[in-house]
Amino acid sequence: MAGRGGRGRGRSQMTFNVEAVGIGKGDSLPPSTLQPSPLFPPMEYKPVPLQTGEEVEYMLALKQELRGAMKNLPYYVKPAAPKKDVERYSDKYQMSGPIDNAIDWNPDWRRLPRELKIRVRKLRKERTTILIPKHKQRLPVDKEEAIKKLETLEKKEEEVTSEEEGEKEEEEEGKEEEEEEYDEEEHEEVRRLRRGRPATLSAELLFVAHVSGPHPAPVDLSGGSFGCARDCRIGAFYSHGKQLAGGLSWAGLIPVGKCPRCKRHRPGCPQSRQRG
Amino acid sequence: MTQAEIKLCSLLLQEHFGEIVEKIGTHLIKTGSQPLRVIANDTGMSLDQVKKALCVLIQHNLVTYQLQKRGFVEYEAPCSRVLRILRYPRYIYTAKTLYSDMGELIVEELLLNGKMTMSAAVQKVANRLTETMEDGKTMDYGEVSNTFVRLADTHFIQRCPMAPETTETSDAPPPPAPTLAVNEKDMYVVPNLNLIGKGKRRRSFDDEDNGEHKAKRQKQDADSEEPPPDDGIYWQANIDRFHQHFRDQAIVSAVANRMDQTSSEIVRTMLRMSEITTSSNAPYTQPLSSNEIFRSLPAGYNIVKQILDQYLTLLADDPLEFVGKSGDSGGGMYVINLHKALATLATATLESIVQERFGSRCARIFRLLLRKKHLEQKQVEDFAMIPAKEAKDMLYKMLSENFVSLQEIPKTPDHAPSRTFYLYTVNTLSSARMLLHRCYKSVANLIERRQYETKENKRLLEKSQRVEAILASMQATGAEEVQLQEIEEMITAPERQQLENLKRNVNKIDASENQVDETIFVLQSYIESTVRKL
Repeated sequence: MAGRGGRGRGRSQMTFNVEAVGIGKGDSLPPSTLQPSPLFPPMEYKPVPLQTGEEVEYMLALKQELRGAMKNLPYYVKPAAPKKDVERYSDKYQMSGPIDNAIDWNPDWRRLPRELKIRVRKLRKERTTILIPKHKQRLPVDKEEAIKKLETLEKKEEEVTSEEEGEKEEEEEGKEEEEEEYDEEEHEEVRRLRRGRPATLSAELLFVAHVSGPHPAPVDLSGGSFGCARDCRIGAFYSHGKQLAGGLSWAGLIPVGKCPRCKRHRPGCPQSRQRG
Repeated sequence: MTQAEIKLCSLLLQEHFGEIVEKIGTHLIKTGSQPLRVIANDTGMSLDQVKKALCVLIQHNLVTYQLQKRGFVEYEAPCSRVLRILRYPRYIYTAKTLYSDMGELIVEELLLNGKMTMSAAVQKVANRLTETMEDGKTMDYGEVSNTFVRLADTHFIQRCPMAPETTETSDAPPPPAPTLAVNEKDMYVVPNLNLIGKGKRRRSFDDEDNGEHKAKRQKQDADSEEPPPDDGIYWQANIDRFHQHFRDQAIVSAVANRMDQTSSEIVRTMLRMSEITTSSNAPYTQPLSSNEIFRSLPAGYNIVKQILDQYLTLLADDPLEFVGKSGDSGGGMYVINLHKALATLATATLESIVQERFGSRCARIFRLLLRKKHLEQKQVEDFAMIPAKEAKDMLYKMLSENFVSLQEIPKTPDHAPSRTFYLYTVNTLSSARMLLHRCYKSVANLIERRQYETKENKRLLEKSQRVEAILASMQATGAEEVQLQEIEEMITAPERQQLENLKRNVNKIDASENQVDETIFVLQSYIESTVRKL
């Protein structure tokens, strides 16, 4: 469009009569543009101020409220949180987002194409929790029986040693306290078992079990360090009702025998020690 | 779909629905109809994410699907619907002015959730209203249902297309996508529900009600297992009806500005009478006789029939031609020329833009060109009474910005430049399109700038949020003035200043977005009215 009169023949010749548009002879053309227009071109006239009024204020507030509200609705699809470098303990107990990319709200599936439905896989956790209750159900019952037996035995002891009442009271109190502690610890153990973690050894419980009589109640132990070498949860719950031999087995500390799940001897087991 | 529109759509989707939905929505707008796997492939996202996003978009009526003959489903996103998100506050405010708080909340819930059943909507709105009421009072479902029915009667909300009834005995496997049928007759028919109940308050501090609460929650769970009586009947906000209302408002205010209050009332009455009888893109309303108009005038207006006739004649003779006379029976049959009115409104917008951008002399030239259609350079100078040099300068400026265009009229068949007329003219339709594109661009720029400002001060915003949370919790537990003051001082004075600045800027930008949207509405209605629908 601009002049094509090369080699200085005529000063910018154009395809149409320049005079008709209004550029007279001798007038200089405006400079040709060599770069894109500036990002914020200067404005000759200042813009009119924005509208004000109750209506405008209300709509402004509405707009900001809507923006905020939409962020909290289930329709706002947040991108999956990036995986942290190390797994944290709290990750297990924080439900961050729906499972397996499923949606938080329930659309009416009759109105949507079938292909849009996301199948949610069942959690693997459910399977392990199914097995534990069998043991759990036995545990509280056993512990209740143990507590009752302890109480009856206490009473027997009271009758036997009625002379040393003062000391006995202290002992009783001590035992009651210990019992209460045992209760708490038993509950703690139950809770820990529910979570699938091995409970810590409660030495007092073992002591009482040992003291209370020749026939120790079949209390389940779950020693973390005495569990199966592979730390499989099943082996940890193996009861020690059998007669034990060697080592600390009199305290019932070491469960004996092979782990029923992975068929290996436990590390503290006398038999495994024989094998070296 | 111009680049500016696509950019604006993607910004709106991102703000309201998140990044994932934004990517998929933008892709669909750019490329048109696509099946699911192709979308997943092209955007590079996992299939699950694409499914999630599509569910959200379909729920909000932003994407439609269609079962193709070969058996697969294609999804499509019309760009115009996504752009309406910008106008949600205006819809909600309109509902508030017409039907007070209940109407406002119903429309808000429908817009936020896309589509809902009547029972769900009524329940939610009642709960929300109950929370704002004083302690001890609850909102009855009955009142909310009444407002819902009124909204449906005036067509502000409508039923969504129905899914086909599933018959248990069909042998053929169900189709991969249901074909939703639009039932014209039942579009505004409200199902006969007997909604009894009261809104429930969300109690978080009352310990006494905990016992009752649990019992109630159990009962509610039991109830939610049964399908509600209006299962499958979904309602959505009728955007077109809102647009019709805005258009009517604009016409009435234009008449009020041009003439006086009484004539605007007359026009308002005429528009109200033809609300439901005229379709939204008719060129003019159904003819109304002067007697009918007289009978339907609002009760407070006591004007005599003769004065009404005079007003109507005046309106019909006005050069703007908002009202036209189509016959003489019944005391004179009058119509409102909707398309002409929209064109006038758009032209007025154009004039105002030229005036604010280039000055009042340019505006004079512009109006002259609008009136005289085609003028030569010399004639412009003469008619506008502006010296030649300045007139030339102004014309070139407007020409370079595409408000004005040149029309060549050759005198000889060889189109020789010296023997051709060059006439300046204004083509309103193309100028309107150009301005609309510019409006979209400006809104996109505004949103970007707002997001940038918020991001810059993110740290400060988070700090202030935390301080507010601490203050609130301390006040709840009863703290001393000294402690509260200490916490308030955690934000220093310059930081407070910065926050004030940020708030002011963000408010300004938001208000500008709303205002640009009004211009967008006028220009868009005009352009749509000129598109002949087959």
